Order: sequence, then structure tokens, then C-alpha cells
Amino acid sequence: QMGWVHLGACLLLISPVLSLFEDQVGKFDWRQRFVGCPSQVSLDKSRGGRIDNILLASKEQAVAAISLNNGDIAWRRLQESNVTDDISFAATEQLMVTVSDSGRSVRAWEKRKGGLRWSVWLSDTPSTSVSVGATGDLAAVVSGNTIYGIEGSDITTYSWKGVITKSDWSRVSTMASSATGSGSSLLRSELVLVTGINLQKVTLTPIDASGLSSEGSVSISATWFHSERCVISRETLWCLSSTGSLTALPLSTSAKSTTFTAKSGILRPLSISNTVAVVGESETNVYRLTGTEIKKVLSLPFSVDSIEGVAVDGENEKGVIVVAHSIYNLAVYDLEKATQLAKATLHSSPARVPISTLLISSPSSSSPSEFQIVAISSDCRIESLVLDVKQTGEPFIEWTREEALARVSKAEMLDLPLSELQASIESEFEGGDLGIVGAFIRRVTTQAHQVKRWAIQTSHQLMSLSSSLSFGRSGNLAEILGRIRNQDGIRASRSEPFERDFFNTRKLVLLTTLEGVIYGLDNADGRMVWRLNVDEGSTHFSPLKSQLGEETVPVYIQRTAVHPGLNPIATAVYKDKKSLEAVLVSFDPMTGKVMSTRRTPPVKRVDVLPKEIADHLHPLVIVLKSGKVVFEPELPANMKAMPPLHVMDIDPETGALEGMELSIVNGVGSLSKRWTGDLSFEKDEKAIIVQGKPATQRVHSRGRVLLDRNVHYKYINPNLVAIASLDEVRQTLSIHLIDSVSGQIVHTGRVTKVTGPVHLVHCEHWVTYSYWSEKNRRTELGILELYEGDELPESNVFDSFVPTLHQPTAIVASYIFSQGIEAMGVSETEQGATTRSLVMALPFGGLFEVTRRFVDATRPVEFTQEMREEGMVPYMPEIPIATEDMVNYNQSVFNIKTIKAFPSGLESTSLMLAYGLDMFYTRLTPSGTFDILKDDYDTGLITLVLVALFVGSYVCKRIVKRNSIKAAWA
Amino acid sequence: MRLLLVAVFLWATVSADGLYSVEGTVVYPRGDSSLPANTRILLNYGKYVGFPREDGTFSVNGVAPGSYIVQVENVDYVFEPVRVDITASGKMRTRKIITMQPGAVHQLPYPLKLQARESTKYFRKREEWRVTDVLFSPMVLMIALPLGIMLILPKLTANDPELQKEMENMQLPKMDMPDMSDMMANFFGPKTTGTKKITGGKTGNAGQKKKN
Repeated sequence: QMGWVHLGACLLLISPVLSLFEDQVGKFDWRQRFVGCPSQVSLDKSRGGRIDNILLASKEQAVAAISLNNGDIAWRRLQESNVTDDISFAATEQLMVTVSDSGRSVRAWEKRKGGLRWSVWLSDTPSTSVSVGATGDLAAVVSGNTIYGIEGSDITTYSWKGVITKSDWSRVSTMASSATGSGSSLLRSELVLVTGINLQKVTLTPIDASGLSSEGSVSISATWFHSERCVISRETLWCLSSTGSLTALPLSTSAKSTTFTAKSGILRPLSISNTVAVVGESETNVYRLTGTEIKKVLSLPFSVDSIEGVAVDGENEKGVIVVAHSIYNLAVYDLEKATQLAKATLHSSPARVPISTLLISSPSSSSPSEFQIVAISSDCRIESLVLDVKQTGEPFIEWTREEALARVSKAEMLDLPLSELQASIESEFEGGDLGIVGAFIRRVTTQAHQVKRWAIQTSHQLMSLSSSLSFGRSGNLAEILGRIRNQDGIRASRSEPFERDFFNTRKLVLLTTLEGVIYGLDNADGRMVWRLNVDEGSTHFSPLKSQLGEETVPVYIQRTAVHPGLNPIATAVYKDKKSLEAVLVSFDPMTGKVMSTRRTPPVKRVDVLPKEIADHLHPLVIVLKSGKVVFEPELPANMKAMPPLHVMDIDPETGALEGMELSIVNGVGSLSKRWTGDLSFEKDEKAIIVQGKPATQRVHSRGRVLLDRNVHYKYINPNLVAIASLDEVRQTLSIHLIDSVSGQIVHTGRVTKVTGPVHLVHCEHWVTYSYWSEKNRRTELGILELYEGDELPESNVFDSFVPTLHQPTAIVASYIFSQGIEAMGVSETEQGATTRSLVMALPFGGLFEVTRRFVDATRPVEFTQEMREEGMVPYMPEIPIATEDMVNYNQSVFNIKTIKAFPSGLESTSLMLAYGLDMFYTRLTPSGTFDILKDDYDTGLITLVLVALFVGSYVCKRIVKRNSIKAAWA
Repeated sequence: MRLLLVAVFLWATVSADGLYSVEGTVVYPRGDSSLPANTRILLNYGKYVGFPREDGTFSVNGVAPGSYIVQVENVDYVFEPVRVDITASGKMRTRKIITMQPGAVHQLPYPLKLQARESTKYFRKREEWRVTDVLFSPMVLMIALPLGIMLILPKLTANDPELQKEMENMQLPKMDMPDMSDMMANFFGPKTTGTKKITGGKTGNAGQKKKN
């Protein structure tokens, strides 16, 4: 037992390098939280008519409230993320009742704070059709062919359930209390079950706390009813036949259906009672049921993308309709007079995609001409605007949220363009020969430029400093000093031009999303620099499918920003939903401006050619499904022969491998088969992860020095690909390491009695993988390291065709990890000299950083004094998880899918981005910031001491002089 | 009435065909009432999710028989995870998690009672510069203490001639303390040519020889 304590103490000495100080909060990191793309939204009108929140359920299984004032998340609750069905909800005065998990789980949330009031499990059998209605303390849920009633405030189970037999369509509808008019038998109930049989009849059954009241139910023969062409808009059921006859049935037992000959189109419910919109292909009409008559109250000569209405002052007749049409035009109409109140074009909005959902609130009494409108575009952008009908011009945009960022597919961090200063130095060396005089003049002018630039920058800094100081006059000296110190952080960088900083830590984060939007973010503070919807004007975007079946929108950097005078180029690839062609969109990653769009036949694989053609441009290699190889842009015919490229293909079902060689002759590429292999998967085995190594990765030291001063040389094969395959039935995880060029299987390892989730990191000469051990019922972490032997390999460059001196040997160790893992990533530095560290996203929201020294296959089990002197870490079965090691401290992030790190200009610093539903960015310093001053380095104190010493010595000198004169006289 | 509507009343807490609920209470530190709204109960790291009500009680529903790690997700407090085993017949067994010995059974009561262990610490304390740190460091003490004795002792003895005599007789090894002002003058001032007294000089320390 004592031994463990001792070892624990030993580990404690090493670990503090990774943890964080409180004053570093927010200095290098930022977090962004998202709710996901909304699937259902409604305005929360609870508090005395003043709208406060937008309630929403999202495709990412989040239930949330967004503050209407500033767009911040008021609260957010994440339900089971392994479910794919949409959540549906209904709101009451106090509660938001959600149905999730395929209509099986009902939960009621307090609308204001998001606390759970009650949760009820309905049934074990999932169903696809779900409808929910709620009022007061009563909620009714239709799930499949069963209706459940839930009544009360502190409950754990439903009050009653009923079977709905023989119906094609069933919905629960909430009646607004004002609509339950006198004389109606529905008076005592505010919930109605509406069921219908196609072309036969519609049945209305009131719902109350004790169940369905069968006496109150009425059946109406309805030959006009069809489940696919009917909607409930507030208290009325509307059906539109394919021929254009519109039928309305008020949801009260005494009511009769009314039919009207209208234009065909799609029915859209509105939030105004007795009103519905029919959106046709070239026109839009709004109909209203008054008594037993349907009237056309508004007719627009164009089709709309979305339409919504609101009653003003609680009166239906005074309703206002807002429409979005022609992609980004908004218009507001008065229903009473059928006139246009206002129209606006969202010029400032970057989204050139249709608005899919609109919400509008009735104006407050203080400003009766102002309408607050929430527009949700089809690329998941939520925008809140205020439209004043008395004023013309642009509506005022209050806030926007980019929810597409909750579905990021790929991330890259790009170097910013060189600053003017750096560029001038570069160009000084790039220019031709000018002779002595010319060179001298150039030298002087560049330096004059540098001085000028420095002067401008310093004056800017001083200005911002003085303004920030004058802001907080009350602060004491320490506060002011702190403010001065913070000046050289992120804060000042905002006003500076968007260019590279001294240590190249400021980068552009390029993100592609599965919604078709590409973002450029500033990594200093996470603000959006630009956004680009590749799908503008059409709706044909769909992500590519990777070989393992995952959706992906890859992006390739064809030219970086380091070449002054040449625009950087990045290209994203997606699939056209209609034609199945691949679309390549090239854009400037610094500005987000599209440069060109090209189409190719369906692609199998795209990559960047590791060779520049003219103007430092890397062409794209595109392997088409047909097996043809094309280049983008085309290669010059006179291009020098280059060594062939190798492509490996895997069938994730069978494990069949195929190695192909891509040879380029005279600018024409051709693919030829080089080798075939087979991992011979079992029947239920499937490849789940295929991971190569980044081409730019560097390994600083080739060997590991052993205790006896011998060197163990690492097997560093840049062509090595790690394949993880999982057999869910036999519970076996296999790790295969394959040389993708020669087809040699370097290593195969098997772990039995394990299941997913499996995560894998492949880096340098090692592979780390995590899995769930079914035998021990805990997460375990495996590490596999490859070594070539004790002799120095002859060549410095690895060649897959030259056999290594010895067959590489694998050293394997495994560790207990007492938490689940959602995603795993590894730090990446410029030279690879810094000890790497692994970052894992834990299910409770932490991002845990652990140094590779802990996750090491060579940690000795028997620990000697010598090893301690060498600073080795003894083997301990468990990787300690301390909350101090969370790089995101209390900034929890959830449902993280990927963690990716990028090198910065500082060897010690790696820039890490974790994304999924939330996003977190920080700097990792796995070995501490050994190459720059610590950020708590007290410049102020040192300056103070130096000045004091200087002054002191001068004073001393004077005193001594006087004394010596005195002494001489004495 | 062709459409048949049947209302069935149900009072059972456990669903019938093989899915069960895990129930329990989250016990928060006293006085922190805002917590339930940002707490979740995770079974096997999010396979099933439950939410505590205002009073801390929770039930995770629709759980298939098996063995689960029950964990409380809260940003401010650390909770000890527990393991819950559900048999096919719906029997519950709760035990402590000992990662090193997954087989060990250390039974806990059911329904679960999950207590906050401590508030979560995310930060290390930054080392602050304090005057006391410097004063009490061994190096400073080693220098300051003898210095103090050297300075204070003569002062103490100055009033007592007898003691002074005694001290002189003690024949302490006399140190050649350089004259501070002299040193300073040599460092910063012009070459001093004035008369200088050489203090001590009995041991003939080389560093003390000054050009006169």
C-alpha cells in the first residue's frame, strides 16, 4: 500500500505542468455553445405577453430556450444523443412538454430555468408518429396508436392510456382558452384528440384528466380527409385536396365542415385562429374561416419560402402576416385591410438561402409599429430582427446564431498572411539582383518602412491602452498593471489587421459543416470572420460519404497564405443531391470569396497532390468512381516525372485491401493495381476506424534512449495506416497496422471481450486506442509502440520497399481509464520535439489532457532507483483523472465528436480545437511554455526593481562622493 | 361509435416487457438550489440520461437489463459514481465502483443516494510573491540571523562595560568586514585617493588591501 502512495507522489510531481491557473481563464481559450439545428420552435409568450425566449427542440436532441433579447442560450438540456428522431414539444403557461426517444419518453421542463418538473416513460415500444398537446397540468401524447394522458405536477407515471383503433392520422390539438366558446360541449376540455380515416371520416374526442370522454366524441363523415394533405392550424383542421378544394373543420363538436374552391398548393398553418395559408407554385393565398364561410383574405402573386402570422392586440381580424420570399426578402401584410405594411430585403444577411421558419411577435403597446421577427434559414442560421413598419429600409438585426457550427465536419487551421513587415522582409530576399547600390537602397527603404510601421503600431497600442485605463479609473495600481499586462494578449489583437503574429499563434480556423456552410473563425476569440454557403441559390447540397459510411465535407488547402501577392486557395467538395456529381468549390480561405466552382462525375477519392505546379499551387487529385484520374487544375503536359503516389482501398465489410499506384506521366494520371490483401474479417466484423498519419507530421528524435544508454530506434513509417475493426457479436477488437504502399501487414493485435465506443489515435510510431472492456466493465486504453531494433537504420528517409533491418516489434500496454471517452485527439507541434499529450472529451463535459509519458507502453513495472533518476514513470494500471487536468476547466462542452490540434510557430504550443455540439479552443503546452516567458512573468516588478537599483546606485554614488569630500576635509 | 377508444388505468412503476427504471436521489450541498437545472444522470457515459427534479429525485427510464455505471454530471461538484446491476427479472443491485477490482462487491442501498463529495477544483493556486516567503526562506534566515547577532550584540554590550570586557576576552575570530561605503565608492565613484583606514587587518586578508 505504501508503494502506491509513493508512486502517487511521484506522479504528482509531474502532472502540474498541465493544469491551469485561475487568472489564465479566457486568456487563450474560448468556448461556443450551440443548440443544434432547430426542428421545432415556438415563441414563449408566458410572462404577461412579453416574449422572452424562443423555445426549441433540435436535431441534436437538445431542448433549449434562447433569450430573445440577445440570442444567448437561457438554458439547454441535452437528452440521449444516440437517438435520431426529432423531439416534439408543446408548451403550457409554465411548462415545456417534450416527447423524445421515439415517442417513449415524456419530460416536462420549467420554461424559465429548464429544471425538470416530471418525467414519464410511456412504453417500451418505439413509434414513429408522435403528437403532443399540453395545457395547464394536463398533457396528452399520441405515440403510435396509443394515447397517454399525464396529469398532475409531481408524477412518475402516466394517469391513463387509451388505444386508438383504425385511424390513419391522429393528433392532439390544444385549444386556446379564448376559443372554447360557450355552448360548445368542448368547454370543459382544452385538449382534443383528432383522428381521421382517409376519405372516410374525422373523429374529435375531448381529452380531460380522467381520460378520453367517449360521450363527447363526435364523428364527422369526411370524404375530403387525407392524412397527407391536412394540417391543424390552431383550432381548425384544414384539408386541401389535390384538385384545390379547401375544407375547414373547426375542432368543436357542433361544428360542420366548410368547403371552398381554392388554388392547389401546400397548406401552412398559421398562429392566427381560423386562418391558414396555401402556398402554391406561383402564388400564395391566406384563407380565413368566419362562421360557415371561407374567405380569401390575402392573395400574393408569388410563392413564399415561409409564412407566419400573429394576432395583434389579441384580435384575430387585426392579424399580421409575415412572409419570406425570393430567398431573402421579407414582407409584412395587414390581414384586415389586405395591404402591405412593410417590406425589407436582408442585404446585410449573408445567407442567400431560403428562410425555412419564421416567427413573429405582436408588437408591444409602447411601440405598436415594431415587429420582432425570428427567421431560421435552411442552413440553421437563427436571426432576430426588428422591423418597424413605419420606417423603410433595412430591418435592424438584433442577433444571429450560427447553429450549423454544431455540425462541423472538418476543421483546419491556416496560417494568416504575412504581416506587411514580414512580407517586406520576404520580398527583400525574393527580388532579383540589383547590384550594390540597388540592394542598399532597398535595404534602407524596407527598414524605413519597418520603423514607420512600428511607430504606427505603438501609437495604436498606446491609444487603446489609455482608453482602457481611462475606463476604469477606480481601479487600484494592481488592476492597472494587470490591464497593461493584458494588452499584449488577445484583446489588442482585435483592432489589429488580420495578419500573422510574431509566434504564428494567430490563425484562421476553417470549418466545413454538414449543412453546407463553411466558416472562417479567428482563433484568438472565436469570432466569425466570414461565412460561405456553398449551396447558395440551389438546394442540392449533400455531404460526401466516406468509405466507412460517415458523412463528410472535406476541404483541401491548395495554396497557403505564405506567398505574398498570391491569394490562398482552399477547395471544399460536396455532392449534388440531384445529379450525384461532385462539386468543387474553390475559395479564398482568408476572405471566404468563392473563386471558382467546378463539377466532376461522382468521385471516389480526392486528395492534394504533394507537388506544386506554377504559382505554388497544389493541384487536387480526383479519383472518379469510374477509376479515371483527373487533376484540378490540370497538370502542365511538360511536368517533370514524379515518383508514383499510392492509394489504398479497404472494404469495411470484408476487410479486403487493394493497393494502387498512381503514376503521372506528361500531366496525365493513371491508376494501376499494385497489390491486394485481405484482413479476412469475420462475418460480423467491420472496419470502424481507418487512420493514416498527417503528411506534415514530424518526429523529432528517431530513437528512445534506454537505461543502459543503448538506443531503441522507432519504426517511423509515414505510410503506415491503422485500421481498427470491431466484431460486435464476438466482442473482439482488432488493430491492424498496414503499410499502404507495399501492402505489408506490420502488426495485428486483438483484444477480446470488448465493445465500442472505440477511439484511436495514430501518431509517430505509436497507436493509442480506447475501448469498453466487457470483461472488466470499464474503459481501457491501449497503447502500441513500434520499434525497429537497436541498430541505426542506414537511410534517413523511410522507404516502404526497402525492408527494415529487423522486423518491427510492438510493445503493448494497457491502462484503466475510469471515465468514458467521447473523442480523442493528440497535440501537434511544429518540430515534434515536445512531448505529446492526448486530449480526451469526457461525457460529463470535460476535456482531459494527459501527457504521453503516462500513456506509454514502456513504463517499467519494476521500478529501480536508476529509473527514478532518469525521470521514468513507473507502470500503474490506472491513468489518474484529476479535475485540475481539464483544459476547459468549468467550461463544459458536450457531445464532442472530434479533437484536432495544429502546430503553432512556438514549439511548445499546440492549438487545439474540440468540436461537436459545442466548440472549445485552447492552447496546449504539453511540456510547459519552455520557449517563451511564463505568462505570469512579472515584467512590472522586474522593471521596478531595476529602476530602483539604478536610482539607488546613483544616490549612493552622490552620498559617497559627499562623504569622501567630508572625510578629506576632516 | 365505430372507432374504439379504450382507457386503461395503470399504476405500476415498472414497465412490463423488460425495460426498467433506475431511481434515486441526488443530494446537493445545502443552500445550492440552482443545481438541479444543470445536472444530469448518465448511465454508461450517456447511453441513458436522466434529469433530477427540483428535490433531487430522479429516475432514468427505459433501461435494459445489464450493468451500468451511474454518474452525476455537474460542473460545480464531484460525485462518486456507482454501479447498478439490473437482472433480467428487474432486480437491482448497487455497488461501489473499484476500478482496480471490477469483481469486488461492496453493496450500497437502492434507490440510489448520490452525494456530492466536494466542490470541483479546476485550478491550481498560482505561487504568489509574499514578503514572508522571502523572510522565512532558509537562505535568508541563514544570512539574516548571524547578521542580526553581529549588529545587535555590540549594541547590547555597549551599556555594560563588564560584559564588553568579557566579550573582548572571548577572542572571537575577528572577521574582516569590508567597509560598505568604501566598496560603493570603488564601484561607482572616481578613484578615491583620500585617507582610508584599514579595519581589522590582523589576518591579512588579501581582498582588503586597498591602494592608499
